[in-house]
Amino acid sequence: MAVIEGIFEPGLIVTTVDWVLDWSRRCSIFPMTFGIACCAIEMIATGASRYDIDRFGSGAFRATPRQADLMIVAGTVTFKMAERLRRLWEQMAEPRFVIAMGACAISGGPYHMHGYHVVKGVDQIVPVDVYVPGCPPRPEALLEGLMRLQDKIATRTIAKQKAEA
Amino acid sequence: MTESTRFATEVLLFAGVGTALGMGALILGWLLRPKNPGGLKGEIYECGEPTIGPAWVQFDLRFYVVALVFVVFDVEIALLYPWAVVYKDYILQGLGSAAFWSMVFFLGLIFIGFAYLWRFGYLDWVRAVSPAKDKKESADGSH
Amino acid sequence: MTPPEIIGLLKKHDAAGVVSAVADGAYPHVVVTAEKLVEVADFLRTQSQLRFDLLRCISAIDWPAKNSVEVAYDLISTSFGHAFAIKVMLDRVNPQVESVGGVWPAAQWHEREAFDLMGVTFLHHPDLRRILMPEDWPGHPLRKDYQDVVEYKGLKFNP
Repeated sequence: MAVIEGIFEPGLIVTTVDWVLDWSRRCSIFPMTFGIACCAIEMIATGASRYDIDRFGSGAFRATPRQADLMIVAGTVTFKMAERLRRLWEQMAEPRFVIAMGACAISGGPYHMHGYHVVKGVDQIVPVDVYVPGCPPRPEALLEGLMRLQDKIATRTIAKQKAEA
Repeated sequence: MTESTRFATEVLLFAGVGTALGMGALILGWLLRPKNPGGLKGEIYECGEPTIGPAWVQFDLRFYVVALVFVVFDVEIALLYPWAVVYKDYILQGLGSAAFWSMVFFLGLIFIGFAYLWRFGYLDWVRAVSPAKDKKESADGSH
Repeated sequence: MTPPEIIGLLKKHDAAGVVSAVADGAYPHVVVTAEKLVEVADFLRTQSQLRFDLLRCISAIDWPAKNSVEVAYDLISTSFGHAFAIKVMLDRVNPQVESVGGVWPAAQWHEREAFDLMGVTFLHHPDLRRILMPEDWPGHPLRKDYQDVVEYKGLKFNP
């Protein structure tokens, strides 16, 4: 992966560098605008002044996948959209994360039984890091999901990983 | 240290620190970021759709005309600045009218060219076949 | 104008095209033959007392018991305020009808939806392709005998 990764054994220097890297990555997660359906409204509300996602450093929504760290899949994913979603996720640069926001992105939501056009869960298309349940989830719920993602990023390390047996 | 040596040192230091900061940020990024090129990542971005045709196409020549006219007038303005600076001195020496009319001559040459462009339709965004047919085809949007 | 008056005008113009008419109830409409559809639509739009200039909706209804597909056109007049509807009954195996996009341009997307979800082919439509489902989707989902696909391009339908 990175030049600096996988060279050093776990130790004091590595944990400090880890801490700095993880801190800078989790406190400036730039989301990509991927509001597809009604959850987009709640995502917009999260970005507005009352619930203010910018205080987490994530206020800069990038329209292009090249500059985005996080894809918040907010809304129902149809089969027609699935192809585009996958392509956009592929075009994001690592490290990249995905939040599945709302019931439709998690498992098809209200369309699970009879939705002929709905992909039952976005994790069939892209690997998901955090699931935020709700229909739609309140802005506080999305912020909780973002904080869980920040915790997940805080566990990353550049130390040499033990080889799997 | 003489004044010129000191000045040179200051400039070099300034340039050096600026370069070091910029290059340092880039080098740090190169060390720390993951490198996983390949796959579909390098594909041209088109909001998720596959691209149709190349991006480097022949662009419209009307932009070239606009840019050319802009460059001419920009250079003209750039030449007006030093003239404006020394104009007052010329007035005080009694050569005010000579300075004034020479600049008017210069501007007049350029404006004649501009008038030519305008009159013969080279600045029209939607161009008629010839200027004489302008009035008849004014409703026609094709060119 | 009231629905009976509208039906009267229509029958006076072209009695042969009108198969049946319903004047009262919540949904006053006429049922016309598929061949006369565009002509009737044009008449309803241009006639000076009717002026149905706004096509609100095109709906396609699947009647397996009657072995036909019904297409309903909801109209409203922005000048006079009256509302009306036209229906055509089509064969269920291969439903085909002329496109009314020449009369109301709004019809074009509604007809694409009816084609996508019910399989009705609209003749002389400028751009008849699927609008909701992907281009290569098999079948027409809102038909009563539609079977869900098991898998589409590697995505399982019901995980």
